Amino acid sequence: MKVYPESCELLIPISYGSTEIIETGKWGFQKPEMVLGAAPCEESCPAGNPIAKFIHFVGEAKYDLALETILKENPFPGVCGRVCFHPCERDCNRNQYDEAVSINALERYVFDVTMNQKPLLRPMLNNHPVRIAIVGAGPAGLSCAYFLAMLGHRATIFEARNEPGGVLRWGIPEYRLPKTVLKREIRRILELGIELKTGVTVGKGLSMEALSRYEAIFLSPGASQSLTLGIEGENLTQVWRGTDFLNRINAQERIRPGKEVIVIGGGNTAMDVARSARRLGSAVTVAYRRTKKEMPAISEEIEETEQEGVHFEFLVQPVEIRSLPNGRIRVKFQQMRLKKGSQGKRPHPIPIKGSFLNMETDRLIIAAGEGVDLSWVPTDLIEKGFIKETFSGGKFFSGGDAVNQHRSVVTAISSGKRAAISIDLFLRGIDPEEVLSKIGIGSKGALSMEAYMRGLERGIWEGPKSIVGFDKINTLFFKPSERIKLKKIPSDQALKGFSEVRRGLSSGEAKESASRCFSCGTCNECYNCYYFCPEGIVSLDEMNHTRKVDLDHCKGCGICSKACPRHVIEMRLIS
Amino acid sequence: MKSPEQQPNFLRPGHAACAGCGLAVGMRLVLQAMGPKTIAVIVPSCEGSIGGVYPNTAYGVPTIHSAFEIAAPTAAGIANALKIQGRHDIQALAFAGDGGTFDIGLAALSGVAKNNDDIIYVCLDNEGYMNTGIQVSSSTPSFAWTGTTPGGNPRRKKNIMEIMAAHYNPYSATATIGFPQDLQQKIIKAKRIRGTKFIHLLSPCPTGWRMPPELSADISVLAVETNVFPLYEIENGVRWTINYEPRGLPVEAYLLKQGRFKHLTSEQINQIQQDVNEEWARLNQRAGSSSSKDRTSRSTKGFKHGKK
Repeated sequence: MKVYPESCELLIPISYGSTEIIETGKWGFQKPEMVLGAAPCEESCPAGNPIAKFIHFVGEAKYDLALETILKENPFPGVCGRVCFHPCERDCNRNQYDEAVSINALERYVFDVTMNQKPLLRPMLNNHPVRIAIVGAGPAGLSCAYFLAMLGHRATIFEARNEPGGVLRWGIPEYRLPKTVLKREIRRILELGIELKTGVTVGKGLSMEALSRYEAIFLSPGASQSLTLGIEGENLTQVWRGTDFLNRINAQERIRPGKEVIVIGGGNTAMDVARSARRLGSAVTVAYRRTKKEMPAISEEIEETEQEGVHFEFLVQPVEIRSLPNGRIRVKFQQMRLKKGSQGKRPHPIPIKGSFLNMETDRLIIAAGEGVDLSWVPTDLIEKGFIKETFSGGKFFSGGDAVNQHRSVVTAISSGKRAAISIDLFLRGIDPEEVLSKIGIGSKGALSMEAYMRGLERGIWEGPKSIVGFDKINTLFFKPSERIKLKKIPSDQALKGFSEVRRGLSSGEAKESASRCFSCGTCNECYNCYYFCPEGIVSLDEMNHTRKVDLDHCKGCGICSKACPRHVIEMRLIS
Repeated sequence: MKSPEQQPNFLRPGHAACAGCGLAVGMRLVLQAMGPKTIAVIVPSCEGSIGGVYPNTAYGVPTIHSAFEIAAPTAAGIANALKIQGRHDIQALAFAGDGGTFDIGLAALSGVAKNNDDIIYVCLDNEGYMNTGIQVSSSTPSFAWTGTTPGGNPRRKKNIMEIMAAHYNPYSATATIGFPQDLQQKIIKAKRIRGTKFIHLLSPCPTGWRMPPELSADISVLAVETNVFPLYEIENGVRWTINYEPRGLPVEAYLLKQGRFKHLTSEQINQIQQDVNEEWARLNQRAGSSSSKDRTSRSTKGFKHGKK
């Protein structure tokens, strides 16, 4: 008779226990650590946009989160997504692989798709709000007010014009920045409880003494006076100022500059003037004293200006304007040549002796730079035709185009943010220098509002994140791909009016563009660390939204760090 | 939808694999895609060592430790027993290394494939007998160093996929840990098919391949991107489909990262490149002639992780 065992265990041993009791983590001599870094694009963005993070949300079609992410650092996504000179794309790590990510277009896309939504902004609670005055409701003043409001302060903006926006409202033409976009952005900012007083000019409606009674004052009057050339005939009626011209168009005045127009200058204002004049039916020539290479305007603007049939005359400088009996004017140009600039500066134009060029035209518009109206500013706040950038100890702060800094919308936003943080620190009696150095993004001057507010909560500011360069990106996990070309309305159609030239991305294009982002230094939940972990011990720390590793079982192989395409995990030797 | 991290893990931590083991990654991904209703078979190999020491085990599903050459018949026996019991929801899974598949277990596997027993057979290919101290197997690639081929392997790697295709079994596929979603989708697809399913899973072995442990993931991506190890599947032995269009990087990108290839002469590298090119052309021809269009379509549904 056969005997069957009750359990096969009598024949084969069975393991019931788990190897989890074995601490294989003791084998390792290094352990992974999640270290979030900053991307080079974020370092280059003067406003410190959290680019990698917002693009991650675009990729996941969480547009409201993308908008809220941008709004933490920049109150103007719709404006910047259209008019910014996007230094971020120049420094994008992907440039060194194939082509830069369409950061600018993605920012615009985030604004465009969330146009009708009300983002959730969470201003800090401040039990001791004080009154702060801001002079000028341009991008710098509005940003300063916005960030002050986020920090729980009450700001009052004094604006000389009857509408807020500054250069965004009165300078930049409709075809680059539709007014509906601007209105929406300004409304969102003002809804934070910011008081706006329009039609108030400091020195007229509001005395400097009254202004000085505020606890802190931010001066951002902008630069709206066209610089003069200092030549004969400049005051003829046929000669206009660039900023006046743009002002009148933006005030919806019906004007006809004439059949033939010459624009003097090579900056963005000159391009705006030239393209606007084209739209008003003129044949336009832009005269610039250097060459195309040295033009300070954004290269895309120059390209579009050319496409719209504007003629360029380089290496010429006007020296004399005479009116002709037929009502036209004759402009005498000195021909120039370039002399190599010293120490990396732009080449310098110098006159070629006896070489002149005469041109007849109906209108000359001067757009060769803008100056600051300093008539109302106390002399101790003035320095070389600008408002001083920093004041030691006082309650005056300044920013925007009125101070001596790079002139762009995003720099103005940046200076507004810097001022808001400085004012907050001034009111708290903390030395701003020390804190500002700790909340920077890299070394190019951008500040992180999020880092500042986190530091306020914790009472201590940690040092800035390190920049994740291209050498730290594992490109094996990215296939080369082409950058999507932005669509524009055809030039002949564009010239028929002031409707926006550039079209935004479609949802498919946005998704594709977002998927191209390396998201350097930012975890975008690609799960590589999880998939490739031989132990399967990477998990999500839901509290902090970070990855955590069960170090008791981590053998320290380093795959997670190596296979992290965006360098978020670093291996640290056990000391 | 659950993120991958929230899905259960059936290869428990504390297992005894070397740091950076590609095989452990492979087994973990396979077992995760298989799910709890699985009976696994392992054989004396790295899998046995990884599994831990009695009375503890790393395997989170019932696992039987069989003999070296009989992973396939053991799984087939289990599959048939389950069939008799009417347990159609449980799938038998066999794990074997390249030694147990390409060399010693080939006849046994062939027999099971001939009977078309309902199992999933995963060959964890680390291109040598790594568990016993790195000896050459018929899966070791040309010119690779091993303990028994100190001057480099004189023979080419055996083409196990063509051998499997010759059985006209319902499903065979190549996969590697560098493409985890592709691997898991193939397992899911195999689970839905009745009959002998074969997965050829390239699992880098930092110890045997003489490379730093952190390179396991990178090297398996490079194996695919250089066409050294293309990702494709064969249905019923005749329908060939390429699942991933590689970048076609030069083979040096893959070879020079590994110590086992560091002695290669430029002629040998050229030879490997030539072999790879020919294989790739042949594979394309097969895929082109049998499956006309769906190159990129994965033809697998469900089990999509989080994103991408």
